[in-house]
Amino acid sequence: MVSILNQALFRMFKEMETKRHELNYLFWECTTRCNLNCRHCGSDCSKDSSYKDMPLDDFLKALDTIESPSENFTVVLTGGEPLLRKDIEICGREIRKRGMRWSMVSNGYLYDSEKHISLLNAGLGALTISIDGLENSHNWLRNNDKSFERVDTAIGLAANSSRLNFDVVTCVNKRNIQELESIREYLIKKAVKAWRLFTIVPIGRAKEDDEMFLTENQFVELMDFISKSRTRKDIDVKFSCEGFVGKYELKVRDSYFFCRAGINIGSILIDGSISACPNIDRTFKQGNIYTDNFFTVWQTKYDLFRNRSWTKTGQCAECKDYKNCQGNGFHYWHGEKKNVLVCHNQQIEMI
Amino acid sequence: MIGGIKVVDNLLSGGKVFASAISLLDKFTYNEFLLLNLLTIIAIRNKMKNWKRKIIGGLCLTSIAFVFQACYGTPQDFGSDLLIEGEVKAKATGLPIKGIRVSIADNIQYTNTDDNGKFSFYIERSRSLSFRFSDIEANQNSQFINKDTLLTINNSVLNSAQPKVFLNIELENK
Repeated sequence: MVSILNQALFRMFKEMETKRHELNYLFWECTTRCNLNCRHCGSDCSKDSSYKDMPLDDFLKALDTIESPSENFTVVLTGGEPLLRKDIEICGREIRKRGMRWSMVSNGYLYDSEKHISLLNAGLGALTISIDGLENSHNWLRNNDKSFERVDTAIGLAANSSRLNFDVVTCVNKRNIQELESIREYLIKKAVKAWRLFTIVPIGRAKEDDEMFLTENQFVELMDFISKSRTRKDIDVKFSCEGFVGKYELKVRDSYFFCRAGINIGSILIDGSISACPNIDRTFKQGNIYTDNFFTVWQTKYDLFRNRSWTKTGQCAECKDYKNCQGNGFHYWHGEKKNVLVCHNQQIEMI
Repeated sequence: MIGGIKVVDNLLSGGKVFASAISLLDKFTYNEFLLLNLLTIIAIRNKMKNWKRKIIGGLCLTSIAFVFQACYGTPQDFGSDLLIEGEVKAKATGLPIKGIRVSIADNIQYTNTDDNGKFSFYIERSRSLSFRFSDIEANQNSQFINKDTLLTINNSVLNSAQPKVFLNIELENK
């Protein structure tokens, strides 16, 4: 009963947040170059991206259109691998000059002691580094023999910085699901305080590789692992906000599922496209910084993100949980958008 | 109307609404007073909306309803840092010194002064900081004596949205 009331209140809260649509989280896809060639990459990034890095000035012009940025407004530098940009510290300082904060998602390969210091000096405030298993399975997924050694150094540096709001993310797949307990123990030893787990989206390079995707049984195993790990005090383990997980809601994360793409989360992509999370189908773009005023687009467009009734199609059309789920994560709508790519709740209920 | 908006803020934060309103009659024209009333109503409505949002967000037992991270993004940054800027000069000549290392006790971070003797870096917010200025390029510079400086930061700086401190440092020759 309490749970039903809570969920009803949360739906009201989501409606209010949607109506308010305060921008407080902006991804900047500052490069699509990458120094790794990961098997699960949703963006098909490579060393030789067809796009040049976006010039900092172009991004700043768009950023400067934001009127009265919200409290805790953060620019999240993502890629590709942001550390391939030589001017990353200059980018960070320019963002901070505007009274905004910045953070970064990195594969950790280039994150050494010197880089750690220069990024902190430039006002980096939050960082996410991905590790996808113990040495063998991480290196396998990353397609690079030195990848684990490098990310191990990066995690050690970041986890010991009291300034950084730092977490580690792991994409769970058929190879590493049996290692989750060992990874957790490894992270605790490295003094990591927060660990987020994902599944892999069937897009980009991952699409054709069955080893990337969990079976229904394995997905439930993952939910149980997270749920059990959350009773521990030494590390905060959670499932990412990628999708609605029915009976596991609140057991695997702090809050009910709420996909904030286009509601609180915006993005400026490598070609200047204005959208929400970078892994969302690019046909959902709402404008382009080279032709539109970024903040005007944020304030006046994004209808498909803020009214998701169009997702009540395919298997979502008759779903009893639709009102709480609203079509799962926005990034699960690709191509023709006639059906959601993955339904986490269905995977759970099939067992 | 900037003054008017300030008055609305004062009206909302203070308790003497009626007395303030009466005194306003002398300060504004009738049209301005009507506009002021409208602004007051809008401000109250907005504040109430925000309260409603906070109450509902809190009631649904999601204490972190207002704190989130995108599924493929980073945690949010709550800005617990401080910008330290400064300039290092030679006491004898008043000229800027480049290549002086600025470091903080018990902290991995450091930076070096540039060609103009200037430095700038963000560090974790703290009430008291112990800096060291060291001549790491003694052969190139004039062999300056290292200097330790304890900086105590007052509450008004620490509690500001973008805390910033500027240090003027003079180094003596060896």
